[in-house]
Amino acid sequence: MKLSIDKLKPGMRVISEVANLNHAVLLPADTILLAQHLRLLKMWGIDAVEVAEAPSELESPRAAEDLPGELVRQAEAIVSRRMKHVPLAHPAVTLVRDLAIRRAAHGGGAIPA
Amino acid sequence: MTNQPTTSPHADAHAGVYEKLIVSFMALENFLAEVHASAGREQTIALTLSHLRTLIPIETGGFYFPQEQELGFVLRPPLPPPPEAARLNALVDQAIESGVFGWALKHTRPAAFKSPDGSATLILAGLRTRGRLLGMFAGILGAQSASAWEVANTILATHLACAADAILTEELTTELQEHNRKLDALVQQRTRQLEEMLEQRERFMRIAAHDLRNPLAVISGYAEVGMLPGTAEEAQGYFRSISTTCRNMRDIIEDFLALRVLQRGQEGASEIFDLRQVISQIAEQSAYAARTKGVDLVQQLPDGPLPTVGNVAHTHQILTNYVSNALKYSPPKTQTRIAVQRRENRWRVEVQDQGPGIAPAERKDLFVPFAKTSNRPTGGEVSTGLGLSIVKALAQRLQAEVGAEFPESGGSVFWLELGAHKAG
Amino acid sequence: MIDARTFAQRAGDLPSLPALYYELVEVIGDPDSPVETISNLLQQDQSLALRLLRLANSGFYGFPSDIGTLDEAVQLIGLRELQDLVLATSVIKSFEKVPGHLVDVGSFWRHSIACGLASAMLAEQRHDPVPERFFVGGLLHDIGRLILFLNAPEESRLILDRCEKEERLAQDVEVEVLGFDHAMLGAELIDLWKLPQSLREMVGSHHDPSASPVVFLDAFVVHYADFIVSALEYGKSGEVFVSPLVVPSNRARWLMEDDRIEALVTELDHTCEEVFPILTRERS
Repeated sequence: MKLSIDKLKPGMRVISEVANLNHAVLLPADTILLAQHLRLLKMWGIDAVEVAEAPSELESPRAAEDLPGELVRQAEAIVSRRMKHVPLAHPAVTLVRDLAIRRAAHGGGAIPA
Repeated sequence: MTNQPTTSPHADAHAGVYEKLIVSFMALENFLAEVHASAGREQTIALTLSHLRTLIPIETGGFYFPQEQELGFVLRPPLPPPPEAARLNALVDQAIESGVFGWALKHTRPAAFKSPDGSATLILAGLRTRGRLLGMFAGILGAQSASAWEVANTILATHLACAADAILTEELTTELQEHNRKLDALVQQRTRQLEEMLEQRERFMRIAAHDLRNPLAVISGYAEVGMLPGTAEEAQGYFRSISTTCRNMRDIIEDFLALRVLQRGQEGASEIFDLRQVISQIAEQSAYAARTKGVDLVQQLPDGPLPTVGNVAHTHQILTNYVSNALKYSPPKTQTRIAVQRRENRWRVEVQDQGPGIAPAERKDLFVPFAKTSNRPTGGEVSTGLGLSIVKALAQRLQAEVGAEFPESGGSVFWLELGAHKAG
Repeated sequence: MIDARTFAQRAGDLPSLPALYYELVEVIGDPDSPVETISNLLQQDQSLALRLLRLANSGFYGFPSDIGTLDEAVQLIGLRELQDLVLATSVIKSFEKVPGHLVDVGSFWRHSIACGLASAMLAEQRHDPVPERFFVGGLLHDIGRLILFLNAPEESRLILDRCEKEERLAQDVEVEVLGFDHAMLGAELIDLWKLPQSLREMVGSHHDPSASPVVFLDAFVVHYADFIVSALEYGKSGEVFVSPLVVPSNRARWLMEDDRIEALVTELDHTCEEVFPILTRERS
């Protein structure tokens, strides 16, 4: 679960390695956080870190598998129509399209209409 | 055009701006030149700080760079005097805690941090070039700074960009030099290794060619003689000699190939096998040769199976070598004994012969390639000089040990120690 | 049929930027003017000053400390960037009276603001030093549509109907009916307002960035941002269908093919929620 920096506490375990903006590794995976680690993360402006067994703080987009198949199918139909003029050649395009389907299935974006 | 004593205030203002621009650019040009001539990071920092001080009201300033290992930021020389350095560090600490330090690092603009008690303002600006973040500038602003802020920002940004470039270039140059040095050392090492290998190969080629030439001459000779009229028995004798000589030549070539395999580093798999069976096989193979030479080949093994961990083929090769050597150098009516003893968790195999032994001076180089001793095979066989070096290399692969001992009573004992399997 | 420039020049209901904006530009351009002058100028428009303060404290900057005074806000935002932000807020304010039966103005600005924010984020990913100008470029990319709604409501209705019935992209139908599309018209407006050339390119080439070779990167960023916010339906600009993403072969690595896109969208959600009310509502 990703926790923001001000919610981190010593003793938590880092799941994936944390790199700084020069791509150098600050904390290898499975490090147990100490006070000096927290200071190090703050220095480098790290906003959030993946830790083990902590409640989720930031929203993560829910997977399409949680949704009933019919809803997903309808969403896909709607999105496909809207994007009929967009060639699906590039993976970056397909990614966005998938995100759009997920959102539509959840009933619109995070912003109230 | 007549001379006008007065000019419009508009033109004056513009002239003033233009002059200011020129002065600013000249100062920057000066700075650039000095930085390019700088001898190292410390000097670049000192230059940047002194130039910045003339343009922006900075009371105390310093550069923070990440440390080698843990990458935490630390104030680097040239350091301001201790009380000021302490004050700067304290403010920077607060800025780190509040997150403003990290923010300034990630964003491409300077950030202002006001100390909680309101006593001082710290400017933080990242030292960044070519997508790499090198360090952070931190400066305590003097009072009355608000009005000069935007100008200060631009001046700061420009100077820091120049300094960053210079520092990065210096870092990269050092890295490159270090890299080249390592590369040189590696190249030298590899060249030495290659030369050694080539030399070995050369030596072998020479000896082998020499040693192959003789048998060829022998074969040729027998063939010539065989073509002359003579008895069937005589002819058979000649054929037998040719056959033996061919076998010797084959040995030389086999050894050469074996050495190549070892040099190429192809490993044999490790397995569990019965040492007794290997020894029996070898004894059987060598029975004819032993009988021909009049040497008595005996085995002295403990009862039951002898479970061993290692590679069957390698073990076979080593012991074959020992036994054939023993037979080669033994005079008739002597005994060659293959004995196995248990030593803790290892088996010790000894091949003892009653031949001439090895002269003390020649003992230390016994397992070295092309070590030829002064002994001559008692049956006219050929020695390649590689046999024992191959044995040694094989033993290393087996994680076994080999050696030779020479008892007072004469003869040689060549031994091999390899791992016994637990069940044994 | 007339061309885009003529249309823009003749358009009667063309809002102009407030005098404050041009005064600000002049004051910022003068190296001698201290920050106090700028702050004083901004204070003349209370709601603008408040907006800027709130923006400085929002996720748009993500600054960890609270910004208490307008001076501090100006320090954080920076003068060059301040110009862009004042432009953004002025434009939104100017276009409040667009006929509602053609487009929902709030939804239109939601789309435009989202595009602006996405453009700024994409620019920041590339370490661009002034992401604000991308914010403005993204914000204004569809301004041509608003001009059409205001000054050619019947043609706009016709275009919308044809798009729906024939399932076609608005930019194609616009060219057929008017002889130009909303991107070209937007570019002309940028010129009329005497705004920087790079902004013109961002607006004019947001459907086909390769048409703008000199500042291709700028136009592509807005183009990509527009694609993302259209596909994910951040508001509605009056266009039913999503315009194709033009992927240039030599810039393909700029596209996000991994989880960075999800991270960007998550951040975009949060920032939109914060920034949208700051920029569009009259009351604080």
